[in-house]
This record gives sequence, structure tokens and C-alpha cells, in this order.
Amino acid sequence: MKKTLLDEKIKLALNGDEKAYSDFLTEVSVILRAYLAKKIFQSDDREDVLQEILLSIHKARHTYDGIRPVKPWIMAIANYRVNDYLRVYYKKKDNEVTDFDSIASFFEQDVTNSNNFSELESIVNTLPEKQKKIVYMMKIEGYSVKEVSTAMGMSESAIKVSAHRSYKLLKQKLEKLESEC
Amino acid sequence: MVETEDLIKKLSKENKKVKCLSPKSILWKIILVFSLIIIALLMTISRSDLNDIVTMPMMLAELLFALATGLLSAVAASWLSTPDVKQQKWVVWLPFIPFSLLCILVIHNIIMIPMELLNSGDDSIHCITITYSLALIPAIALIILLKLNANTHSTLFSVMSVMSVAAFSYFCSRLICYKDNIEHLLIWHYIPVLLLAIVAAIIGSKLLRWK
Repeated sequence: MKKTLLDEKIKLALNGDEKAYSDFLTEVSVILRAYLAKKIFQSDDREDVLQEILLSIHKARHTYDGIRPVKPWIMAIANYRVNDYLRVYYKKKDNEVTDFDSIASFFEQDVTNSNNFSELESIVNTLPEKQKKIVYMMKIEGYSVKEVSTAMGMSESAIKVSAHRSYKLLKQKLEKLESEC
Repeated sequence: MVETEDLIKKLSKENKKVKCLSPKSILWKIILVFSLIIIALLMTISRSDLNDIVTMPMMLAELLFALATGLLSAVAASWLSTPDVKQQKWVVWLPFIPFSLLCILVIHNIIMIPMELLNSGDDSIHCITITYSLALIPAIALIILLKLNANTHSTLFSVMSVMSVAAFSYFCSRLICYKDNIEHLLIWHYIPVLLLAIVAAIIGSKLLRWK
């Protein structure tokens, strides 16, 4: 069986070599970043999951005997941690996707009609300050998620989550308004 | 949040020479526990007609299949206690061979041997007590030993551990109980072991999960 550099490094690391272990983990993190980019959509969470995997590798290093190839062993741990993350992620009710398309038609209405516009504006104004600013910047002023995240000093995923929550709230309020009319 | 590079530095500093805990060494310890219990049983409370078992091929086969299921499930559980199953996933299928044979034998016994009216007055509750008591020590030993490792297939891992303990306790209870009639075995041996296995597998998948 052909031994890779990674196999050699973990062997040295298991013998207590600090430098080899550091190199091993650095190399592993490069491999895992590429792997996680395909598996995890939320870019901010990727680094957290990567750290979780590195910690798990550290805790489980006594289960590696230095004989069999190390990469399948690493990927088994990575898979396990990614599945753990995804399980928690999909369980969170907050992460339910509220599709902007469902309320897009309202935004596409004739905004020059002062009645419609003032109606919409008054609903948007009822949102919490931060959410209101995000909706204004993204949907009225036309900024991208990245630009909004830079301007507000928040992560891109936090902006997306906040925007989704706002749309959900707007949808509820618009439906309530329609039913009253 | 800690930067990944800082975490790597921290983990590297913590790194010391690691002694590998191989699944084989765990397996030998499990076999040792199993053997000690069997020897203790044979020397103390085993049935008096043990020598006659050799003349009963069906029962001999039943005992052998149960023991093989217990041991091979312990092998599979030990292998499953490593994240990559020692890169030998085929080991997981091994216990299903004697287990299937044991199931066929049990079903054959139930169908082929005429079952008389169930003797409700037959107080054999001690068979359940023996079966459950015998499961306790290997179960604790198995949990302690296997929790030292890191499993990434918690459901399969718990099923194998439970199968190992259940088959072993079934094997031991057959060495103790002298009643071989099918209705007794069905009610006081098969069903309790099956119930134990189902409950333990549900609890085990959570208890044995690697955090």
C-alpha cells in the first residue's frame, strides 16, 4: 500500500512530534475546507464545523493504528461531524426557508401608486430596526448580501437569516392586511 | 470564535505520544469477560445433563450458533468502535451468518415440534431473571470498553453490542435451564431476549453515541 505524506506525518505525530502534528492538522484542514465547501451551504458555519472535526480527530487519534491509510479515517470522522451539523441545522425551525418569491408579487406592484407604496412602506416600518434596514438596503436600494453585510458589520449568513425572517414577517402582515380588506 | 490556525497550534501543543487502543485488544478483553462468566456458570449452576447435549445435535447447533453470534457481534462492535471500521466493513456482516442460522433453527423448532397447551402454571420467571442478570456484566464491560474508542456508526454499533450481549445471555441461560420444551423456550427464553434486545438497541444508540 502506497503511503502518503499525510500517513507519515500522523505516524510521527502519534509518537509525540508537535511539528508533525501541526503540519498534519494544517494539511487536513486544507482537505476538509474543500470537502466542507461542497457539503455546507452556510459559509460562516463551515469554519465552525472544520474546528469540530479537528477536535474530533484530536480526541480520536488513539483509534488510528498508523498502519491503514489515514485519509479514510479522517473522512469517516468528517462525515460524522457534518451529519451531526446537518441534523441540528435542519432541526432548527428558524432555518425554515421563507421564499422571497412568495411576496415578490407585492413588491412588483405598481409602486408609483402612492396608496400601494405607502401601504408597503408602513408595513416595512413596523419591522425591527435592523431587519427594516436590511430590507431597505437589499430590496429597495438594491445592495447585494455581501455589501449589506459589510455595511452592517454582520456575517453574510446572518444577513440572509435576518432577511428571511423579515420576509416571513412581511408576508404575515400583508396576508393579514389583505384579509382585512 | 477561535481561529482555526490558533486551534491547530493549541492542539499541537497538547499532543503527546499516543498509545493506540486497537479493536483487537478490546475484543480480547470482551472474550475474556465472556469466558470467565461461562467458566463460572459451568462450575456452579449449570444443568446436570450437560454431557448429554452432545447426543442432541439440534441443541448443540443452537448453542454453537448462539455463541458464534455473540462472539462475531463482539468482533463487529469492536471494529465499529473505530471511526473507519478499521476499513474492513465486511466484518459487520459476519454475525448475521450464525444469527440467521439460529433464527432458522428456532423457527424450525417452533413449527416442527408440536406445541402443547401452554402451561401457565409453569413458574419459570427465574429464567428471565437469569437471562437479564447474565446480560448485565457483559453489557457493562462492553459499554466501558467500547466507549473508550470513537464510533461513527452509532445505530449499527449499538445493534452489534446488543446482539452480542443478547446472544451471550441466551447461550448462558440455555446452559443453566434444563427445560427444553418449545413453549417454555418461546415464552421464557426467546421473547425476553428479543424484548431485551429491542429496548437495549433503542437506548444503546443514544447511550453509545460518540460525542
